[in-house]
Amino acid sequence: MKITLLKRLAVEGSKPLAKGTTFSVTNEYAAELIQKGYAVEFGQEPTQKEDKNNNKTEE
Amino acid sequence: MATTGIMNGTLLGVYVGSTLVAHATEGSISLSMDTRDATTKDSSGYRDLLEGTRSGSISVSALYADDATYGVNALMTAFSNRTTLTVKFSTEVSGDDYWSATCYLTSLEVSAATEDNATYSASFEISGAVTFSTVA
Repeated sequence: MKITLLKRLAVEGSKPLAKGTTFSVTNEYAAELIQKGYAVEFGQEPTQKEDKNNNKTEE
Repeated sequence: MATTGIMNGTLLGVYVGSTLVAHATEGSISLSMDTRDATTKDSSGYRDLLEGTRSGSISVSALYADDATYGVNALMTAFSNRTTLTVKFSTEVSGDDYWSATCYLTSLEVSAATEDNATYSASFEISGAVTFSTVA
């Protein structure tokens, strides 16, 4: 699934991905990130709650 | 809904640790099984075989971008650390089949020709069993 990050994300072994980065991940990982408020499905608008926490970085 | 008809190869991607290898142009999985020669004088002049070790590899080729979400940078880390990776070959379309396995990155080749796209290819040797299942 293609997602857009709402916060900076540390991907194992890679440079941290900036907020707003769009990329594809497995459906399970996408669901996890969306549920935690770290990402939205590509093309969708973030909710206000997700926007409030955009300074945190997922490890 | 599962993909129907002859599959378009573009749909199948190589995911390493849940992230799609970016800018990929090709991907493949190769599975094989060794055999044990069990030919004896009772084989009537034909070779008899028995089952042996199963193994496989997953490969990906891609265009090289230094800022890729998952590319050479991440693969170099895996190569340096000699850690296992979970590699999935999948469309991620619900109902489609996928392959997934624990792998070692065993080969990484970067090519850069004059006035052409820089490219790279990576090979992952499967360690252990291969999961062949259906995308939820």
